[in-house]
Amino acid sequence: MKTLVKYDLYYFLKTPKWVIPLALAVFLSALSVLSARYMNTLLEYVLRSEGIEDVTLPPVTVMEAYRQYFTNHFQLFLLVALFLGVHLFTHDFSRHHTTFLFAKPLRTPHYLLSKSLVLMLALFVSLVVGFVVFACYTHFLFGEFALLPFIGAFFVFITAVILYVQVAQLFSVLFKQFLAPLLLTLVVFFLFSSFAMFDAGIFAFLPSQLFNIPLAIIEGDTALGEVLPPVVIALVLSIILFFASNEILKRRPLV
Amino acid sequence: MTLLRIENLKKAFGDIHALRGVSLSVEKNEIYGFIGRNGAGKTTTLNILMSFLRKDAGRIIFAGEEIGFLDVAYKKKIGFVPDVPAFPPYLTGREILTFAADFLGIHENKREKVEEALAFSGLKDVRQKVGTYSRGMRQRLSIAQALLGDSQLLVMDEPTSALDPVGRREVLDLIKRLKEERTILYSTHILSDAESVADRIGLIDKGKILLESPMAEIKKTKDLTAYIVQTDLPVEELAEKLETEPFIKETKAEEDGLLCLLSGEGAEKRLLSRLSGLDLTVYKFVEKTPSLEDAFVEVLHENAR
Repeated sequence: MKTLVKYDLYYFLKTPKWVIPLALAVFLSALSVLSARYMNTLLEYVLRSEGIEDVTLPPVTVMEAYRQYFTNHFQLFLLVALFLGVHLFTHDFSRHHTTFLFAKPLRTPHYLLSKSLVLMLALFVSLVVGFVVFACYTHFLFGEFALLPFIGAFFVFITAVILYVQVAQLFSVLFKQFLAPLLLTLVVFFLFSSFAMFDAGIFAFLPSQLFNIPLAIIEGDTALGEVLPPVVIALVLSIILFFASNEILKRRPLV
Repeated sequence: MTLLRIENLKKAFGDIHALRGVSLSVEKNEIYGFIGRNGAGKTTTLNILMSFLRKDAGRIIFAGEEIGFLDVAYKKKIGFVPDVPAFPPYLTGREILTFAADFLGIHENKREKVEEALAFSGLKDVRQKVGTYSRGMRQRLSIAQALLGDSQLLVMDEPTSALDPVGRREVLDLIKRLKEERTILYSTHILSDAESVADRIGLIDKGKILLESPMAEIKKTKDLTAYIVQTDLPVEELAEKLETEPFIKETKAEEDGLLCLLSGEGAEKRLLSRLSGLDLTVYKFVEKTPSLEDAFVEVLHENAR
């Protein structure tokens, strides 16, 4: 298992792929604060240069920075993470490295777990660096930063990442090529995103709520009882998807 | 002593029966040439042997023990060399071998064993990444990683088929150097390669083993003799006149005349008699050892009949 993790880490570290999530996380974090802080100023400048003087824009608050952070991360970072994930999960098959790997005494759950762990590690480290950038910028530009609520919201986002990584892995072992699993994962992603607008009845418990919960936590607008069900269901679903991926992998040709 | 025994292996892909009850046995310290045409079932057999594919029926017995699907302990005792080896291009050969050693659980003298394998495959001084390797170098690296861990059995799936003549020679030389030290199951459709390295041959066609025999006996078993005949007639014309004879299995134009592959008792006398009945001058009538290819074609013809 340790060797597999090292093998998968080399995939990130010996190629420029580790730069992608890191650069994106830092960029989105900085952009979220900067755009929240200066968007109105920019808009006012543009409107005045167009001769429109009597427009009053609402004052900017720190909440706008949080909103932009999570929107950007759900819409962009997660998408890029899925691209990276599907590539990591399928490249051993599409490049025929499996004849080297599975000729060795490897266990299929270890093989899958290693890939998930390494991808999550790469994403987590990138997000933590982005977190620090975001915290510093927010504190500097708005004079405040809600550390504890943000940490809670951050881990809800991480739960969503874990779930989508497992969806990507399931489709990857099913198809073993890049395009089909990517498209199917994106379909699931957009489907779940669209469910996020419903929060009544059963929808309140679905992992689709993971899109709404982070902001609600920061706004102090949610109770633990509302946060836990979608988070727990997402984690349980991730575990089920992992075991399903393993069963599929064992049943399909490994080359 | 039998190291590997495959019994009645069956595999179908939908309606296509790739293996129809393959049985073979590989003795310890021999090179077993597993030969057959493309699509005969060689790679499917080896993929099942390596647990890359599930079997439909049959048994695989290695060192006296039946092997299950994805048996981890068994995989520590075998090495695999595919036809076109692929490794992560961003790693060096040394890193690949270190990973292979780690996967195999080699802790003691790991570095020495990796260096030894690199030296054996002639890659000790190569520092560049695998992505820049030639096909021959990649195949030698593949053999090196399969040798790690003192594997008892090397399974080679057409290791020379994708190589140029130089790469092919290098790989065959490596295999010859392993003779007597390791047991090798060597699959190929290049019969001259099998002839140059194998001790025993198993011939597979349409998912069935048609023949299994020691190399030295295979040509005797088929009661084949070959003669080179050179006359004043053009080779094609001579072939036309002789091809109708039932004791002549095959004719082939060669550099020094017409190669006649004969079968049956007294076939050479009957050939001489037939030649004397033709209006021609015989310049050359020389016996030649039939090749594995001749025996292979004869077995396939027999099976088709």
